[in-house]
Amino acid sequence: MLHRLASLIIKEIIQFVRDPVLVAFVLIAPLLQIVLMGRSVSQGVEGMPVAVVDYDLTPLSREIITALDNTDEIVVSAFPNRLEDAQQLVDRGDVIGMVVIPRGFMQDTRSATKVAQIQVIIDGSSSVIAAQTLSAAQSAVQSLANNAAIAATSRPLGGIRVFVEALFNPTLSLRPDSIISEIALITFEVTILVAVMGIVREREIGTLEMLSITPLRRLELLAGKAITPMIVGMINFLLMFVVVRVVFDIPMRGSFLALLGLTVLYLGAEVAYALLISTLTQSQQQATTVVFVWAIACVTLSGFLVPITTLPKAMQWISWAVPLRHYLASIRSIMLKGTPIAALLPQTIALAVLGVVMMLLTTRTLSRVTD
Amino acid sequence: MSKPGQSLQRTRAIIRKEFKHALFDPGFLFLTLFAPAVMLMLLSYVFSFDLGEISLALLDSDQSPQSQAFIRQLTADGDITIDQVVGSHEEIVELFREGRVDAALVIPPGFGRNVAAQTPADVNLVVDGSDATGALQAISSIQQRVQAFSAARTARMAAPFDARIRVWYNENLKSQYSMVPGLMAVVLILPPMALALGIAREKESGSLETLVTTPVLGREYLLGKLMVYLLLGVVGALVALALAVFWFRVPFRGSVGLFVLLTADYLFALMGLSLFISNFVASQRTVSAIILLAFFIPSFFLTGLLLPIDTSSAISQALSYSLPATHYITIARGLALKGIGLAALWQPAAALFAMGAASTIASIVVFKKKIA
Repeated sequence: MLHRLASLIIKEIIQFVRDPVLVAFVLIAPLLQIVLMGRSVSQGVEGMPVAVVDYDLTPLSREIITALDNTDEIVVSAFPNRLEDAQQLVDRGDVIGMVVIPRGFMQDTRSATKVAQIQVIIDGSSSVIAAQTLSAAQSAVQSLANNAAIAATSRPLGGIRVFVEALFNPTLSLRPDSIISEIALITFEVTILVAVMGIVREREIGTLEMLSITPLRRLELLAGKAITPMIVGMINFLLMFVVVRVVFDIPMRGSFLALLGLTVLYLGAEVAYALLISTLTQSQQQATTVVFVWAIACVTLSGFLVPITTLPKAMQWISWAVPLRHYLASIRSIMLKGTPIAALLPQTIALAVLGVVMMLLTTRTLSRVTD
Repeated sequence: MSKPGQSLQRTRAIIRKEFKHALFDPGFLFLTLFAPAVMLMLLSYVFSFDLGEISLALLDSDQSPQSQAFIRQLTADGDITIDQVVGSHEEIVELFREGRVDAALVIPPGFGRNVAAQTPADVNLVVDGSDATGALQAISSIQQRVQAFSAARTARMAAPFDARIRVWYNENLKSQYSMVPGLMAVVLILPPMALALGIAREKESGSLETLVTTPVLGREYLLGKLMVYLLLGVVGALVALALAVFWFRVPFRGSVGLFVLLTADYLFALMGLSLFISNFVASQRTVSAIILLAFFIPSFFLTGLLLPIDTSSAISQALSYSLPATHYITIARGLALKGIGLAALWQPAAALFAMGAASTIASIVVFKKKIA
């Protein structure tokens, strides 16, 4: 049995290596991609351009503009003279928002009857950016107003001050998390694409029938088909891991062995899913399309786009069947927090169970398809 | 040698052949026409729930009536729950490691005395920075509640001025409204991928070689294919748009005609690049790997879909703007939410057209050379 399996694996590797474009691509492209993308992924909402229309032109209006500009989130980038010009800048997306300081604003702050108010308008078409820019603008204006009020009464204001301390990532940069997600996603894509062609390609060119008359047993066939993508995935993972550690200085606070073990389980589960798709589809074109849909489903339910806890209960349950969910949680925790493997037992078990169940399901499906 | 009339005829023959292929393969037809809509539905659904629960650990060294009132107020609406009560800072780190809580609130001794005396009282909020997005959300939602608690207890003092905040285009900052148009760019990668796979399949099966022996020229073959897939892609996009508007109730304030035109523009850019890529690639699995890595994965990181485009370096910006999806996300959000016209959108539209035209011409040139 080992002999048969070995010859199949050798055949698979020869076939893979014979396509130099593919080999170069799956080994070099992920590396290139993590280098380029890691460098360019944003740290967070910073330096968003805002236009200011200052009709007041007083020391106070200038003070407000400086306070806004001094926040991390906002850069005052334009001073249009007319409201319409500012509006056009927002429409075109050149600025994320505009601040209007009305004429007589400073005078109104001293008046007992009038309410002095500036207007902040934010482009809500990108909701994450809008929410953070908005709260930065609001707190900048508020603290300026509070200081003025304290200065007027010369008595400290009561109330509760919140001091934030962020563990593992003091500046709360979005970059470490994004880069780690990139590793998981790229490994996922490459592995699943190499794996999904396994059965369907043989079927398309007519060699599946030939394989079915050889003494090769179904489980052996599938195991042989699983090895190459797993090797490719592992090489990808290791190369990207080195880049991320050396070039981007992402911390590795946990056990490397634990991460390696989880990565093997993860790749196994992904490959099992890919082989199931491969046995169920009729052509490579179909298989690729299904993989694309599967990739989107995984991205959706893995906690990468939105935290899993915000999903309805039913979807949270379905997400247990998505290997990416367990792997993302594990790799983030191990690398950024140094979580011990004992705390990741649920993820480990889930990945192992998914791999075994999918592999058995694939074997049964394959026997129905070939008989 | 060949008259334009004949060339047109041959292109038409290619178009007819491609349509027949598509119609005889219902699975494929379904996947190009309806799969974008199905995927959009899946993606959009998860964005309909804006607020998640925040699970909090509590370290209350004060244990005063004031600190208890403060905690009651924080957890009153059920969005924030106290799941663990701890006695030390080390326990918080341990809970974060195991992923059991999202944040921890530390109330120092003397908190109650300060609140009662109406002098500033401090609390510490410890967040798990390994999930920066979640941490930022937790901070802002806790800060809002703290502010409400403070306001009710401090002597009202008139601030001399304030800011009135208005949000345009998406008044309640619903993330779904901004994500659904943006995600159109992601799901519309499918039709161009189908095109590239179609060409690779003809190479693999050898029918491309047969085609070369016919009078059909390279450009007729490529343009004919491009037109069919472009048309299917636009129909698929309209199905997805209908779903977004009628099912998810996402506003669409621009012109549908312009949407069709600019979506065709986006597909043209993607398909031109796909044609160019397929010139150098012989197998379906390689071409699909390239398209997923070049178009799909970067669209989540570099296009402004989730995070702002990184403007700190020229390389990052060049990279972001070389992706067609970056431009289409601006277009789709502009049309759906801002309701703006071509006057404000000509820049991304022109960028997409330039990409499409340049890559299509390049692939025709390369194709001719390869056959010759």
